[in-house]
Amino acid sequence: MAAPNQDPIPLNPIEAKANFEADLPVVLKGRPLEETAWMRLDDLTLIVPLVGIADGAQPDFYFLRLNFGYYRDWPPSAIFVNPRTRAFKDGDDNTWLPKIEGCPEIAVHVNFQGSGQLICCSNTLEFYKVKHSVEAKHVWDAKSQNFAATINAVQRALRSPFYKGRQA
Amino acid sequence: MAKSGDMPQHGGPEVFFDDLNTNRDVQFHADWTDTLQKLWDTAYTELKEARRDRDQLECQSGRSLMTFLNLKLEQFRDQHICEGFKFQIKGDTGGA
Repeated sequence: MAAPNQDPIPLNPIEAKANFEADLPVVLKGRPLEETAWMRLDDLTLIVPLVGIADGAQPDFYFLRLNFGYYRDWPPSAIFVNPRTRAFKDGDDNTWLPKIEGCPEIAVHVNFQGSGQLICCSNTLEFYKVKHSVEAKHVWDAKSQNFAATINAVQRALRSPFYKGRQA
Repeated sequence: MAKSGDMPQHGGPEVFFDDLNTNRDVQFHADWTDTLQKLWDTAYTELKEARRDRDQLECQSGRSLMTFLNLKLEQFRDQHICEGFKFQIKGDTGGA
């Protein structure tokens, strides 16, 4: 189970896939994946389009790539990616990162302490991989959360007054 | 004429709760004298979940209802705090 200051351990891919597929219909509220704009890249990877709306500006589209290799003992990996490459390269793809300033619950770092992109939020795997400090009440709880919590937390920040447009 | 959300066969409105921790949702009939706290507690029972320390109650607009939990539903309606009786349970996160 997730805990602060521990190295996340990947699950057996078969088990991780089963966990992901068990939660997918719940998160989608019963809608077929084909009726959404979500893209399943492989057994364990999903891309979810999200929209950021800065005050008075046109909507900005982002693409959140979730990977479920450690799920659900740990939250999904979550990073923003370039929709063409479905990956993120620091420098080339910074326009695909949202700028979220002053939000107490989430921040987006292009390259956090040399370990790559970090969506700094306790509902992402990377948050635990960098051993970020965390209050007990915020530690990922596999019994009461699924990956909807990850998507909703990021989407919420993109619709909040803390969202300031693209990083580049 | 019944107000939006009224369910004449019950006499009280139908309320809707969406748990953003899981995307599970429930709806059930309420009484006008129920407090938001009571309705929130009922939602957990209906969801077969327990309240977590991180949880907060909001309107679907994202407006926090944590300072209104003692309000009766009829007061909540009359004060026009949110549109309708659609609520969401948000788990706050650490980060930033």
